Amino acid sequence: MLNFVSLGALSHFLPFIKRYKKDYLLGLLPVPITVFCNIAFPWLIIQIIDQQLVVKQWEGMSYWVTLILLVLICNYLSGSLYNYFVQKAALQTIADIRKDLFNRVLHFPKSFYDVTPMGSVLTRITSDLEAITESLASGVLAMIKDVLVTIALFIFLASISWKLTLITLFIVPPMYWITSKLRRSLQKSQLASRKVLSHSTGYLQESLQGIKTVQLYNAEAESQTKYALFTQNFFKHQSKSNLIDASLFSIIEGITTISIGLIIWYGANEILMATLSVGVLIGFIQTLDKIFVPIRDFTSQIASIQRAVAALSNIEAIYLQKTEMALDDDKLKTSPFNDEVFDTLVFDRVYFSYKNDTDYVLKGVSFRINKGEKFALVGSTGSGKSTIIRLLTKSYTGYSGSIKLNGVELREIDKEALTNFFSLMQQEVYLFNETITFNIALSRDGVDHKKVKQAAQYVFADSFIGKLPNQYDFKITDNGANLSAGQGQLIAFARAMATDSQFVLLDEATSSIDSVTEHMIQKAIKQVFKDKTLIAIAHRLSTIKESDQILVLDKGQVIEKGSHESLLALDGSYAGLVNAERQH
Amino acid sequence: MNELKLFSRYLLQHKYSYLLGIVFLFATNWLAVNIPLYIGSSIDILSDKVLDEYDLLVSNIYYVVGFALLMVLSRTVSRMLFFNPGRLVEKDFKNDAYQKLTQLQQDYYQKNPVGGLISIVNNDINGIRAMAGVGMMNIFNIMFTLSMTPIKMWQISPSLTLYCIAPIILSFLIVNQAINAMRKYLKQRMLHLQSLSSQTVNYLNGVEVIKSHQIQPWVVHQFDKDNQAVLDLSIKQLRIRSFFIPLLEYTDAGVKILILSLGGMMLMKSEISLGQITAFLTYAALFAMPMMSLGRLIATIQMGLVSLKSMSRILSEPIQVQTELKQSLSFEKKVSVTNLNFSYPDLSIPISSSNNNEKKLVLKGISFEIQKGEKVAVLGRVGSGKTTLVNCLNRLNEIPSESIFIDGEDINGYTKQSIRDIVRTVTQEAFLFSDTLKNNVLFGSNDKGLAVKPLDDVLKQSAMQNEVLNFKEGIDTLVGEKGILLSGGQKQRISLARGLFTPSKLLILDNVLSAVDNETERYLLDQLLAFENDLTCLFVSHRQAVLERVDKILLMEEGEIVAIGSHQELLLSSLVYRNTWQSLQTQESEENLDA
Repeated sequence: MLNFVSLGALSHFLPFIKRYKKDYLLGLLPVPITVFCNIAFPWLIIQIIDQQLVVKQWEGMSYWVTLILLVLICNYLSGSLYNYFVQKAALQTIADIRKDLFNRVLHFPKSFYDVTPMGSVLTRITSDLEAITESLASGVLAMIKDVLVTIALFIFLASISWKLTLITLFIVPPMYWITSKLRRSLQKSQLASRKVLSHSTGYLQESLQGIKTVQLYNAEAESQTKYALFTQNFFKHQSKSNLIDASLFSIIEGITTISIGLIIWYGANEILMATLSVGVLIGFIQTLDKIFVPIRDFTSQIASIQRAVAALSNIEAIYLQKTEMALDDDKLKTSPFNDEVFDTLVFDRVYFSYKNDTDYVLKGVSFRINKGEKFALVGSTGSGKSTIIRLLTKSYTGYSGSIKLNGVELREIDKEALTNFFSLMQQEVYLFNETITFNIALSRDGVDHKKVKQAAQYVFADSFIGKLPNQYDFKITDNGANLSAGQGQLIAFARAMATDSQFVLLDEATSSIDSVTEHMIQKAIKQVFKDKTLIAIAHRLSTIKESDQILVLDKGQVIEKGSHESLLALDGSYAGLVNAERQH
Repeated sequence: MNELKLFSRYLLQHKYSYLLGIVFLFATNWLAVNIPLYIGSSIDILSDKVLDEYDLLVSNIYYVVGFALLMVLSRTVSRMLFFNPGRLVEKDFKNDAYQKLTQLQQDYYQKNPVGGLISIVNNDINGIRAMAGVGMMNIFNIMFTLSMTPIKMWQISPSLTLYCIAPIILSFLIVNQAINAMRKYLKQRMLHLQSLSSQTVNYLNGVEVIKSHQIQPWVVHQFDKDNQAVLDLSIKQLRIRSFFIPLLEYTDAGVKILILSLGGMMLMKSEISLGQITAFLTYAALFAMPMMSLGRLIATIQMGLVSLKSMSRILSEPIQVQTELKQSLSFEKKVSVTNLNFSYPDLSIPISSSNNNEKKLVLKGISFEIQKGEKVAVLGRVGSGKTTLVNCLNRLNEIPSESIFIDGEDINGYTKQSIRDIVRTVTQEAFLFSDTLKNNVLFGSNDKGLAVKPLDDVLKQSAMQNEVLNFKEGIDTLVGEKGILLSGGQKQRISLARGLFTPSKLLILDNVLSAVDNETERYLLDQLLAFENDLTCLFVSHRQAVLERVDKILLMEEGEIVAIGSHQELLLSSLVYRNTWQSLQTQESEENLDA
């Protein structure tokens, strides 16, 4: 029935719950008052009937009426306050969890994003938390109070007439059994309906998207017939659901009424033998509803709870996933890494595979790059060029061999320390819906407007920015939809250059772009070549020729290494690639 | 209102079900309203403690139980009699909307994005169904309860009735206002939640940038703005739910106290009996319930009317009357296009504006002929009007009269169906449905009465036969979005097979050979250009192999035909063609290098 949430899961949420313990307590305090009032009300009714009405005595009536009014007001206040404070605390807890989840997700390693579709992350942050919020709103918390009240009422009723209570107890199990059975088949029927509906919607969507094809092939009638089959099928399922739903509702009402009849019939005997008063009988009948309603609602609340529990376990998965910082924690962080100046980078027989069971993407790569040198990485797709860069930025970890940056092993360097060390210029542009200044500076420490302008000038973006409305305050929309492709690329370059780092990692675009953009980008790249240390994944012959050293990679291995001229002289792979391109 | 007329048309189709439902509703309410009387009478018997009225007590109980059982039946039946028509009305609206949508032309789809149309057929329909089903039921249910219950109460004690009804109506008004406010908060909350969603998607797309520049705090701060807004609105809703919504329930309890005290006074004066007080307690509860339904009913009707409006916009969209047009068109001799001028109807420019006179012509003075059996190619740069021309020939576009003739007949005088019976277009983007490969190829061929080629032949002709043999389930393999991943070339060839399956007189292939390799292209052209094949073909293509082998080439530039002739003829006579041919050759050789 209920899957109990593991204690581990709850431990993640405890700190959030603790933050609002004042509200939780304020909400729980009125509960005993509510329980008391719920018992006092029927008791007072019984007194009024027996002591005033049956004996037709007016004296004392005002005392009872005042009392019962007080009880009613107390009940209202305590019930509302309980509801308000407990749910308010829960809503605040959820808002905090949502913020924390989002923050956590922004720290996950790339390996997480490689295997997790965006949709599933989105679901955790939105739909799953919504499911929990909804079950709160539908009264899951109120159910706690209701259960207490119901138990208290049972005890009360048993104390005034255990025989009548016994009869009531006979009615409860069949009512519960019928309602849960009907509810279950209703659920099944509704699930089937939803499935048919989603097929029908899928067909509708496809037909409308391909309406040209439908019309060109004179298939209008054919497709209408097919759609009509879907709607007919849906109707049949819904009709069945309707029947179950209608009978569920009616049966519950019917059982309540029949039980009243039974109680009167049995109670009659007791009254005639003077073992029961009329007041108790009437009080009993009036209280029956209060007991039956929570019981029949219990089954629908269970469904709501199940949904919330499923959501909780989904969310727990996010807490179990290690963040990048946590992954780093496993290694020593004693490195006295100096990120101010670049000196050397040494790759020594580096092996790497993305997943444990796949082939090595880098097989024994070794090279050395000194300050001021420019390296070009050349090779076909899958040769390992991008992997080298990803290892340097610590997007991926877990290499074997040695990568020493300024003499310090990369494994032992905190990813944070590397943030401003490398400048990554790549083909995939991501722009925030903010001003150009923000997009270049990204609120980083030490990047003021002067630095922003310097960076923009460095990549020759300053001139076009100057011509835009609002210039540096121009707001970019839709990942750069209001700029040209080249302009967006240059802003991304400026962003990379804004921190003045000395080591540039360049990933040249492979897709063909228009000549205007191409020209803009080449100018910027040439500039970078002048005074930085550089590793470039190069595709343009011009870029490659400018490099000091070229590493030719094939299937994860360095097969040729040298300058452009020396490699041409080798007449090997590199020479072959250059000649092929020349013939174009 | 037009929408209500439309709605009642659909409702009336199920009038017998509704009428019967009303009868059963009446019965249910009548039973519900009489049960308290029997209970009350039993209480009176018990409070007087007269032994010999015991038999009457027992018969009262029988009545109570009997009525309760009858009520189960009548309540169930009445709900079915209202809910089912609701679902049938939903089905009818959906089918009619779908039918209308398949008949609407390209100009409609340019104005109305598919996403919005799907939302109307899928989401708005719920509002209509609620009105036709549970809404209709509640109208009558509330009418009956709100009349029968007060009548019974009045029969017991008019003054007590008034004292009870007033507070119930008052609290209903207060609670209704509260519900309206809550609905407003709900809408606002939903908007913020949607914004939260799209923000999450946006930022996750750039997560690597966010990580590499360590700007998570800023991003989370942006996210939190919407997060807090959602929280605020949730708390506002909570306030109403905690303090206002329970008012009805407590009013009910308060009214009970009222009945006991005021009724008690009347009891002292022997104006009413204890049993009648008990009955009154039940009636008060019976009266409160429909009040709550009333609030919901108003909301249902409001939402239903809005939904009706959206739906009626689709249903009332005019379509071209096809009945006056001729039905069977034949193509035995030739297609002639004479001075075809075409521009897309620009719907954003108002008619009176002077700009309209200068509507940009996409096709200018197009004239050419295609004899039966000829193979023709249309060549031109991007934007020269090739696909527009194709869409005029198959009448996806509305063309001026006296522009396109088949066997001397103006095609505007014929139904679109009859044109598309003989003109088959295989479009540039291959559109495959989520269905088996077989059904995709068979698409559109039902009930045509035309001779149909065997499936294998067509697959062979489109160079798909071998590949299909390699698929796990052969021709029953699921393709399309939810099916197996196909390459662009495979999709195009399946699309070609579909075009070849139902024989046509004029086959138009719009850039269909662009995604296949040279060898396959040669094979396909061999099939299509075979001598014994009397199929008239129109190729939109820039492939050398096509141009070299067709009978005639129409060279288009900026909406005009600048040259007509065979490849050899044009090489000699047209400078433009020679230049175009030159650049085509260079382009194709470069592509070969990449491959």
